[in-house]
Amino acid sequence: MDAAQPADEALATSITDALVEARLVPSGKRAAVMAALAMGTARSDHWVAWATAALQHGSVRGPE
Amino acid sequence: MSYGLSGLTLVKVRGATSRTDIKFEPDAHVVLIHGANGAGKSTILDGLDMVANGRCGSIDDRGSATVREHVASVGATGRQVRVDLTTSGSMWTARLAGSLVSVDGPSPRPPIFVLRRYRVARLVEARPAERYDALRSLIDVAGVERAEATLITAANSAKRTLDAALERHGEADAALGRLWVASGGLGNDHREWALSVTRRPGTDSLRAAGPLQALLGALDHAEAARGTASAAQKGLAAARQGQDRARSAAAQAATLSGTDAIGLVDLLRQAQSAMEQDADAEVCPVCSQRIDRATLRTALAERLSRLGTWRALSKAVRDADEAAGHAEAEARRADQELVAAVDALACLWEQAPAAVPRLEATEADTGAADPPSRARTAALGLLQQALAGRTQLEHELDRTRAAATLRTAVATQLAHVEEAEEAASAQAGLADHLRAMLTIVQSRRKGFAQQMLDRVAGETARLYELVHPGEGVALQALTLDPARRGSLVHTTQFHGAHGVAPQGYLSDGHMDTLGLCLWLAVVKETGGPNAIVALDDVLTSLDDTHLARLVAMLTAESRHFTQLIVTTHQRAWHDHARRETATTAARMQAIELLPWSVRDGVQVRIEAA
Repeated sequence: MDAAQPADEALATSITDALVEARLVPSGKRAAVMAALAMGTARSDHWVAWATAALQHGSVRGPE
Repeated sequence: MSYGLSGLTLVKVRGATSRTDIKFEPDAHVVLIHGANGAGKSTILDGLDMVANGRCGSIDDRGSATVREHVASVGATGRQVRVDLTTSGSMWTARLAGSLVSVDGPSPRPPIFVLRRYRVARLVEARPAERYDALRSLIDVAGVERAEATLITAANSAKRTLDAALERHGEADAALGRLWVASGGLGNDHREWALSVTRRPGTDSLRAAGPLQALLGALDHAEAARGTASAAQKGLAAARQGQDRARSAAAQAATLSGTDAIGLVDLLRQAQSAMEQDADAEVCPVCSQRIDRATLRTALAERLSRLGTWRALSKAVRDADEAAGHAEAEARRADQELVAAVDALACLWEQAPAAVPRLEATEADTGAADPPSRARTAALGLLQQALAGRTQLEHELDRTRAAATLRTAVATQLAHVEEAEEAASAQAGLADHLRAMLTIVQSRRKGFAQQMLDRVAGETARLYELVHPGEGVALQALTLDPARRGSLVHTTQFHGAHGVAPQGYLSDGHMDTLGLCLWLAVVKETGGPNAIVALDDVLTSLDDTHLARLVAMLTAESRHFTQLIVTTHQRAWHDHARRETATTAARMQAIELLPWSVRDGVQVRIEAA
């Protein structure tokens, strides 16, 4: 698989940080989310799984 | 991992017709490679480009040349091409595999960004789409956009699922509401009513209807026992009447006792027989007196006939007595069963609902009847009361069954409502969560490119001002054309005129500087902390004053990169760099390239620090 573009990596990092900060994604999923975002490999069921995991982990702070 | 370069070996690569080894100082901030035109400066950067980026930039960007044909040195083949690049702890080797460059070594490779002179002009002069292409790898976020698209799909799917769950909940709730209205609309609302119905004690169908059904069964049984007893009494009365009739008939017959009559009959029959046997006899065979035979024969026959009637009456009396005895036993047994059935009924009746009238024991006539008769009378009294309450009992049973049926229906519907509510709630949580994720992804993605371009534009302007201070020219903005995807527009300020296209106003020197500053700003923004910047003879159009400022700017900026490698044919670069690094903390390594020859290839001389 091709490597992620620098901009993708930078933006994926920014988005993942925001998602984790808002507790929309468990911190334990940070690396997986970041990689899937940067590489464009995140599928719909991945998003649902991350959301479900975050919901199971506790309350959601929500986007700012 | 430190990516400070420590060595480069070129074998049969472009101008490196023989083996060329270059020793870098890993801690040198600036590596200045200077040499005359054709000495091999671009060959060195091609080697770096092959290892770091898997490409041979000076060849790749020329449409008329191919890697397969032109990377190998004169007289060499692609298989002989090899580039070794070492840092303090790692080594990578690049080779040609057909038209492709293959690289062996650890991952990641050193992040080396190579800028060649002809690309400097492209950054500034090109059309917006070409400029976007030139910087595409630095600002394109196709990966994130693909991930965003799947998130939109997930969020929309979750929303549709939520809508369906809400619809199911609405239907279930409406059905419960209809039940509520049909049941009279008691309570504040249908949910409160449904909860009260399902939690009401004793409304379970088995628990509530069972005793009532048992009571009605006992009542039926007692009523049947009463019928049996009544029939037995009637049978007994009939038997007794038959007994009376037989006795009365017998009483009107002869008064002989039964035994005598039987003996007499036997005697008379013997006399009759004797007379028939001795037809001429003149004397009575019984009393030996003379007889009138004809008269005597007639008398015997008459007498025998009367005695036969008497015997039949006597048998009828015995039969009637026996029948009366049986009827009396049957009546007694039926009475006992009646009493037992009514007793059982009375016991069950005590558990009957309050709405059913209680049974009251009746006072029997104790002086006139024997105990069995009194018990029978009392049982019949209780049974009569119970029969009078049957309608009420049946009503209670119907009411209880209806309540149980309603409870079952309400409980089922309420469960549907609660299940739908729970499903909708869970789905709403997921849908909200995905929507919140999408909000973050979209807001970050939309802001990301422009924020980066704003930073790049600001940094470009700052770097440019260091080289051309107070000259009235500055990059104002880099913007993505909202109307055209993949289009990057830049505008400059030129002596008070804002928003002008730089290529229409700026000199070659200003254009070159602007392109270099833009490229440096982009690498600073996106290249990461280990970036190595390599400039391949990028600026040739600056006068000495601006060149000195450029070298000072680059020397100062070198601290943002692992290394800054500059190739130039201008001796002035070397001199300015020497002076600049002598007055700052930046370390510089100077490498001189000697004149190139086919036999020796690229020749390197390392200057003393």
